[in-house]
Amino acid sequence: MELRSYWSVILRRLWVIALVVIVVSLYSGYQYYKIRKTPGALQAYSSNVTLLISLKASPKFTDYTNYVNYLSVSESISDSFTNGPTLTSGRFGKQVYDQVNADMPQIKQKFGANPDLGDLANPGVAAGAISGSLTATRVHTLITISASWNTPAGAWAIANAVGEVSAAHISDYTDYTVTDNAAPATIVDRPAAAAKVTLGASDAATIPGSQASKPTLLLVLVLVALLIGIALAFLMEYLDDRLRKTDDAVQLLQLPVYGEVPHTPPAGNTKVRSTQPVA
Amino acid sequence: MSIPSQEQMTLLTDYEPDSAYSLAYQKLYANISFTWDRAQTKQQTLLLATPTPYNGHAVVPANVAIAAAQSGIPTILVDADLRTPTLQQRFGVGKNVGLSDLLAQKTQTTLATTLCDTFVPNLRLLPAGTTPQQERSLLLSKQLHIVVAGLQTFLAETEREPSLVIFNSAAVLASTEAVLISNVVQQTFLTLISGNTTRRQAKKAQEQLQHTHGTLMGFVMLNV
Repeated sequence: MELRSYWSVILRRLWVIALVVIVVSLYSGYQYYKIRKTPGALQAYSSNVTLLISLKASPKFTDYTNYVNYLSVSESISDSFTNGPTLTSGRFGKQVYDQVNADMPQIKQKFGANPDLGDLANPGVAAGAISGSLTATRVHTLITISASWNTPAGAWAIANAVGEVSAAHISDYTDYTVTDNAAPATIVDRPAAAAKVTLGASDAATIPGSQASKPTLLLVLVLVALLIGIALAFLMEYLDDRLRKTDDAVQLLQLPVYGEVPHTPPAGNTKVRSTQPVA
Repeated sequence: MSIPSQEQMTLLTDYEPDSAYSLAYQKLYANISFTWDRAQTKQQTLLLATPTPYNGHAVVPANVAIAAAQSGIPTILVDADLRTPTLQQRFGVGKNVGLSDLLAQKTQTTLATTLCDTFVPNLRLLPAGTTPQQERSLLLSKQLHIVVAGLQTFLAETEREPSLVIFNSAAVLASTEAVLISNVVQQTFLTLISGNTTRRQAKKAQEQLQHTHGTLMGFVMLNV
């Protein structure tokens, strides 16, 4: 089949290709519309807060000669806070949400009387969404927590609240034990964990949203639909037994062709016919 | 007997002589006429039939007949599609006695009285006739060769020039009529419709015509 034949197949079955592409384009368009309407889907905001983890000094523990032990315990606490389930727990999320509400005067002062807090305005989902928006990295005892949110004000408010909640309640979430040498051993009193905000919540930076790559995928889907449509057109042509070209009929019947008559021209090209016999 | 109005407009005389549509039929007629041995046979008989029923199939034999008549050949167009005769209405001829009456050998029915002049010079029409439909096929099988011989004799007596008889029939695969006619005419041409006739239908029609010793010369491609 030469190139012109391929083209004629495509033109003949254009309706199939168009149908597939239109259906998939409508689906892709709807999906894109939904993504555009979803805050934070294409573009989100991130704010960071940095904490320093240490052990709280106490008059009961005056032997500070072995600082190595203090540092080692602090690192262990930092690690469990960073990589453990604390940040993603519902309890921590609820506490952060309550803190955001408590911080509202501060937020209004920074972002105006009606700050756009995104999903934070929806109490039903806010606590869970906060838990899902937090990620943390650590360098020794320095933990950087990032809050990703669909509005700049929300991201900042969460990061700020995370810092405050961590500083106030870290010992509620992470702990360690020291036992005596008695049998059975009992837990002895020890210095509690402490957290201090070293770098407050940063101004929110733009980051790609959770579905930022989806528009490209939808575009690829339309292109794939085009290819599928073309493949379908050729499949239909292959399954179609009808004769279309004179050469095909010559090859099939092994008979000569005596004439090729074009389609009946439209009535506009005709002249008026007399129906009266001449004789 | 109702015919779509568009079909009534498709006769060759409805188009300008230099239109692509007219030229295609003139070329078709010329190609067919090149195969005739005029020294041997002065009265040519031929059949143009489609493999399966097709809306407007009678246009092809009608237009070839018009092209022949316009080139000066005395032509008789026979409507042997006894199931759905359409040509008498196309040519504006009233419901007359015709082929089926000749086949039935009705008294006072002669070839001269059944042939109708048309609005095309040199072209006469033998309509399908008035005999009840159920009897027609049976008569066709018994009497057709007599009628064809009669037509040739009639042309030999009335025309000095070489002349032509063209048959329009029902589709080859739809009835036995086309095969019967193919047996008594000198040439048969299969009319294939691009985008409509399947390979299977074309092959089957060819086999059917060749098995019954019809002289299948070639084919005409429509709607290309």
